[in-house]
Amino acid sequence: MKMVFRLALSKLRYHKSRTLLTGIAIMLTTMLLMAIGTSAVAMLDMNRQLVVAQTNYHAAFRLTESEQLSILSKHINVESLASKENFAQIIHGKMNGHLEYYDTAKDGIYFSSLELTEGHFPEKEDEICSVPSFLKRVGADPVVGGKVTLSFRVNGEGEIQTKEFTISGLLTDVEISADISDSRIAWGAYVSKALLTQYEEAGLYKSTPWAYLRVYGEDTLSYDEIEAQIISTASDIGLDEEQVLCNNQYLYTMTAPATDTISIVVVISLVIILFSALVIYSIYYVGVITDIQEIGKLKALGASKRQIARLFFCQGGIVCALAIPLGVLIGYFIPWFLFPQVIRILNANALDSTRMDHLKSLRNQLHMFSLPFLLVVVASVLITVCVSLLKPIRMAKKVSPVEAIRYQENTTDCKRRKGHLTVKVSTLTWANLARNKRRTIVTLLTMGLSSVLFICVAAVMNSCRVEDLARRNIPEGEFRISLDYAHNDREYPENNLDALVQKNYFSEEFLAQLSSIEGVESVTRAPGIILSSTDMESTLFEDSNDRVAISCFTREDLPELNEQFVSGDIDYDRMTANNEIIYTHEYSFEKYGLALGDVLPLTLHDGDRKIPLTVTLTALSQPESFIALIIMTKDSWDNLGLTYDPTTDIYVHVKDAQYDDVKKALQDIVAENEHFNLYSLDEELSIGRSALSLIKYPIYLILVLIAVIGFMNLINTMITSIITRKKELGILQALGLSNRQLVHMLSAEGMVFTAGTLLISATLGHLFGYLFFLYAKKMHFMSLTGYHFPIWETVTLALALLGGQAVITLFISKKVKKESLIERIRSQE
Amino acid sequence: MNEHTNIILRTDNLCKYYGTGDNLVKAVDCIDLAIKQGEFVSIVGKSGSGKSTLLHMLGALDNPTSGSVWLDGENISSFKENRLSQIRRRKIGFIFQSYNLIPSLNVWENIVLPLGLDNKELDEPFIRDIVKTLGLENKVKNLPNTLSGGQQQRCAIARAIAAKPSIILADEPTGNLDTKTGDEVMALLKTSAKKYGQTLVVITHNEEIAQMADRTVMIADGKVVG
Amino acid sequence: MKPLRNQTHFYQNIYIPLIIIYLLFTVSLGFIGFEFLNVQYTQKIKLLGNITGAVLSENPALENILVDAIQDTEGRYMADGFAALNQYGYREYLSMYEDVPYRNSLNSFFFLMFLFFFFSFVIITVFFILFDKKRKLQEQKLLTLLDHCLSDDYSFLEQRKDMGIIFNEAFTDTLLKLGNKLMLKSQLLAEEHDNTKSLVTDISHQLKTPVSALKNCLSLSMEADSPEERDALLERCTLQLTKLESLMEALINISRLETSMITLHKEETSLSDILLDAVNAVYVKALQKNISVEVLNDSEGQDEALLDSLTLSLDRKWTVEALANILDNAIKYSPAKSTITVRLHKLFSYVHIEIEDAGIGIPKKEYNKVFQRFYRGSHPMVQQSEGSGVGLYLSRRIIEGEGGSIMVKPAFRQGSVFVVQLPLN
Repeated sequence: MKMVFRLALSKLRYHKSRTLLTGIAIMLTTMLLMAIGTSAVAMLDMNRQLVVAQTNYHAAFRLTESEQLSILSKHINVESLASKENFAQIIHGKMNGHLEYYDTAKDGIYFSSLELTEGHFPEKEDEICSVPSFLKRVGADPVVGGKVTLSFRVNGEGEIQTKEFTISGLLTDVEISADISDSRIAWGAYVSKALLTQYEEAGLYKSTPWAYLRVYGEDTLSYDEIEAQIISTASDIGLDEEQVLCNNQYLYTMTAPATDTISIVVVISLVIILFSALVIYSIYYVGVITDIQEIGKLKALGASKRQIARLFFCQGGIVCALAIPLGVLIGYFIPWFLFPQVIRILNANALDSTRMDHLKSLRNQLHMFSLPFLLVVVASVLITVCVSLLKPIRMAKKVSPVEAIRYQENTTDCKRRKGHLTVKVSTLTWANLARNKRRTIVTLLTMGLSSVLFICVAAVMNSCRVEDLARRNIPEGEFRISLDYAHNDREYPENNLDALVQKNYFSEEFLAQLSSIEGVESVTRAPGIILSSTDMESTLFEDSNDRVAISCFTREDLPELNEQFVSGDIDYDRMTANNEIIYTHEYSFEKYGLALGDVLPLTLHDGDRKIPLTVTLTALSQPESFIALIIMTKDSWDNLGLTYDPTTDIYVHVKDAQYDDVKKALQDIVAENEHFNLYSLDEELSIGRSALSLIKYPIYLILVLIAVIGFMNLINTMITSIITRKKELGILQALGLSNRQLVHMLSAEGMVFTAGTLLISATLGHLFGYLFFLYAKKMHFMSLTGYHFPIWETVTLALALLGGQAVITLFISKKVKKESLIERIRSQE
Repeated sequence: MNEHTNIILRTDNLCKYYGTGDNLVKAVDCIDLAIKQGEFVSIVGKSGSGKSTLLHMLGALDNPTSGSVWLDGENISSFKENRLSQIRRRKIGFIFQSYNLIPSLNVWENIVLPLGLDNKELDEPFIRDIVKTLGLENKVKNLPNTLSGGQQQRCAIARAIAAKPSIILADEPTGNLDTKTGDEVMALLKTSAKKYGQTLVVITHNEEIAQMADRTVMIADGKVVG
Repeated sequence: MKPLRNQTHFYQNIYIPLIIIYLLFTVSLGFIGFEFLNVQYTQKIKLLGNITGAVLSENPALENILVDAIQDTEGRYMADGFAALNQYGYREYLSMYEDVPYRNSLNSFFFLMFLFFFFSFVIITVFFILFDKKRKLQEQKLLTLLDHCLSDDYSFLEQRKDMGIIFNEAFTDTLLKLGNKLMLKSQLLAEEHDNTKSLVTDISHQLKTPVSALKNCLSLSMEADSPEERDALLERCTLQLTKLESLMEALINISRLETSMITLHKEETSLSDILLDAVNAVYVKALQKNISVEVLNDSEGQDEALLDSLTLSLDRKWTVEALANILDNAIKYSPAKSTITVRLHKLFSYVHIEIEDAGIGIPKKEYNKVFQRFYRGSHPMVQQSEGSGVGLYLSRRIIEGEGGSIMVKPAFRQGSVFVVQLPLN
């Protein structure tokens, strides 16, 4: 074994360039896998931290009796427990504020909004604590010991009470972005148990607390198991599922870390592994061909097949031992440096301001390291190397000592060659490539594959247009005012759509007010949306809080529907007659197991009315401009006889010149209503741009690295082509081939690879690119609409290839010039 | 004087040393040699006597440590690499012990290779004649590895003659061949060189072969001994 | 008894340690299991004490029924108990694994088991590696020893003690025996070799004296002055004359050739005719010395037949002359009653003709000189015999003039081989 090791070491040293190339290929592979994985780990951890940063409860129970709280606190499953009661509604202008009582029954529940910065929670009946911004808003000085007078209605009903409170503590203030209307925030101020008891005894208040709890086994149980624990706990104290509200987002994040992310990472990793395996294989394959004489000599000296195999594994192992740790280190530190930068970019763009607040604080404390993952990376690289070694080893095993001594690499079986009457330098190039057909093909294949991959992704990336992304949010006009509603919020039902439509925010007067703004050309209503629930057992409804949105389409929409048509049958009149509907999202259609012909019993929520309606699913189409999942014909829609105006969005068309003025005016109008959201085209464009670049550049980076790995192969092939033909080249020079002609010949060989790669990428690349685009479009990736030919990407690829080719040629010509002719002639074949 | 002009290859005090100090090896040590036009000279010496090094320098493959090589009245040891490659393909034909045909080219292409490298127009009848003389008519499309050793060496001879060089340098041309084939190759080499009027320098350690030459130069330890 | 020794080896080195390790692991695993159960039992007793204390502190009157319940094995109160406990999540059929805090201690137990397994695995592996190392050392030592045997180095025979450390006794004994026997045999061989050598020296020494005596006797007889002696001298003169005549002829040929007075007229000639003529030309000389000339076709396969009817483009007369010269030369220096062999071989471009004699041979140094003009070999027999040093030169000129080649090589046993290659087309 020692001997084999030493032999392997000396061989590695002897074939320096090959060792270096394999090393780099292995290192890049490890690095890529590690970087991608680490980014994924960081992303998961970020999500985790974001979720944890808000709160950590598993479920909230709407208790029916206050005694249930003490039973819960002693329940075998309950890890920690807290209770919250909504005591009264604060009356202060349009403010949405509540007086609440919060109590921890069993330590462990955490709310970010309930972190004290100063003082203590209220104990006496006139004590209160809240965030400074609330106190300022109600006109008090936010200091501990200060006084504040509040008007409120107990249980949100009855007489308005006014009471003076002493501030006992201050809570962590919420950072509020300027563009969020603060009337939209639900303010909370916390009072003492004593106050509640006082009102309760007076018979003015009935305590019905919410219990927030965590059950045991967050680390070990799956989502379903935890949910089962929660439900069984609830039923133990006599509650049914209706009264249980699971903190799904938290539970999902903690138990089933984003399977989407993981599957993407796995797919990318597999591509990389496959690719690098091909490259490493081809380097070793070429290596065996070169070494066949040496292997034969070893065999002649008595080396067994096993020793030969061990020799190869030993070589691979030594290279891995150096390359993998390096790759792991670099692969870990790239995201370590880049990830915070990406977060900062995200922050700057403020995609979602409330979430980003938390990002700021956790930028540097991301947990990126995962030992199991590291082991998986190392193992998969090792396996890749082993697998790519198998074939070359099998070849090496087959080498017989006799064959080795007179072996001439000749993979082709032909004995004769048509040839040419005269010989030029190019003849030599072609003849050599033809002789090493398999080597040529393997190299061309790896290079071609990487370029095809590049063009494929480039085709899709190039077709991602910022405008498409922006138009996803603003289908028409320059601005969109949208109603900010919830589907089915049980904690704050006043935010639900059925409650909001009753207030008729988008009245004709409001639209008229908008139209009167200088610069506004027109204001249009988007098709309205109503929500619907069902009695049916369906994951579709479960996943969207029991309610899905329904909208309508007109005859004018038919062309678009037909264009994006997927399956089924669209016929306006028949659909009107039979209450048929179209489903508008192909991907989720499959996910929820829906089928054409399904009959859905719906209950439409028209404000406070409930309209039962049974519909049939008869078509599937993917139009871009519909927000609702289910659409029916305009006639069916009108027949519903809606009492309330279902408009949720209005679009404002403006003249370009007055864009900024209109934006300002609209911002003022929108700020007045807590339920309005304003989307403006310029912001959407910039958000789209940054979202696109966030996806585009990392993917391009990965592709470039893959291309670099592929390039290793080219370098290896070219260097091997010099090393193996050392003597042949010497002879050619002896026959009068000048150094310049020699470099020409070698670079022409490289040029064939480059040209072949370009040809493959130009043909297959664009073909697959288009197919890939169609697939991505079908999957609704990045709102793709039209195919844009990736001209610049192709040109860049060509330039990069030619540039790389030039560098290799330069390198080779230097190498050629360094070695004297006589050395070459003397070298053993 | 007449004799002087007839000399095609001449060396002056030609030396080639490897290493320094105690490791100094005098592969070629002050050799003066003159080869006449059309002459067949054999250089005989044991392996390690420096005969190959001498041939390499005669063929402009290697640079001498000191001294000069005059080919056709030109001091080729002072030439740059580019000019040297020209000299090699125009004035010198090489024949090696291990044939050294280019494995990816067929016999014909191998033969015309030096011409192709020089972008010369092909004198096809001449090449055909050589091919015929050397008995390779049926093998022109074959790849070298399908030929026997003798055939390969005949191909190498054809290659050396094809460019009509002034001088043919052969390094142990029969070293890898069996006796009869070796005899034949030598006879062919000699008759072809005579036929096409080329000067022939053959390096060998085999005195039987040396006897075919017009003149034999014995080399030992880098010096001419007889 | 000897095979048993090997078995003890196995028992000592593998079986017993393995059993010990196995026992050790079983016992410690049992110990851990016992401790685990014990902790559970203690907790159960403590729990009982706690419950009893809690209930009795509120209602001392319940003491009886409580102790009853503790000692009751039928579980009469169980249904009622669980009815109350259910809302806290305690159920009759609650498994150990469903109680999550409890599960954690179970997990630590499993982890301990795993560690145990892992360590035992490591220990066994290390054990085997060590054992394997010893085995390898033995193999290596054995191989070195055998190598020594092969290179006739029997110094190990004196190092019995060193060997005893590595191999067991039986092995050492057999190895030493083998070594001894081999040493004896090689010594015997060396003695025999020396004997043969001295024998040869003795014989040649015995031969030397009578040969020199014979030579002395011959030179004395030549100094006598009788008529017989004169006859002999005359005879020698005639011989000299004939010699001179043939020399003259050869010289004329050369001068013609050199001054291009003769030209080679190539014509289609059958090879067999040429050979026949050449052999006929020397036939008489061969007959005188009782030397037979044998012509062999050395070609294989179809060439064999072809060779007979092979026609070459040659000057018939001169080619015959060239070949006859070589044959003549061969006969001259060959001992009587020997054979001259002419072998024919068809090559790609030439007919390869080997003319092998059993004569005195030519020293290597003279190879390139024999074909020179007037060159006569340095060998005494050449110096004594008639000849002008012209024949071979002439042959060479003729053959090369026809596009062929000629050279000389040493014959396999004795004599020389002249190789003539005649072009096929």
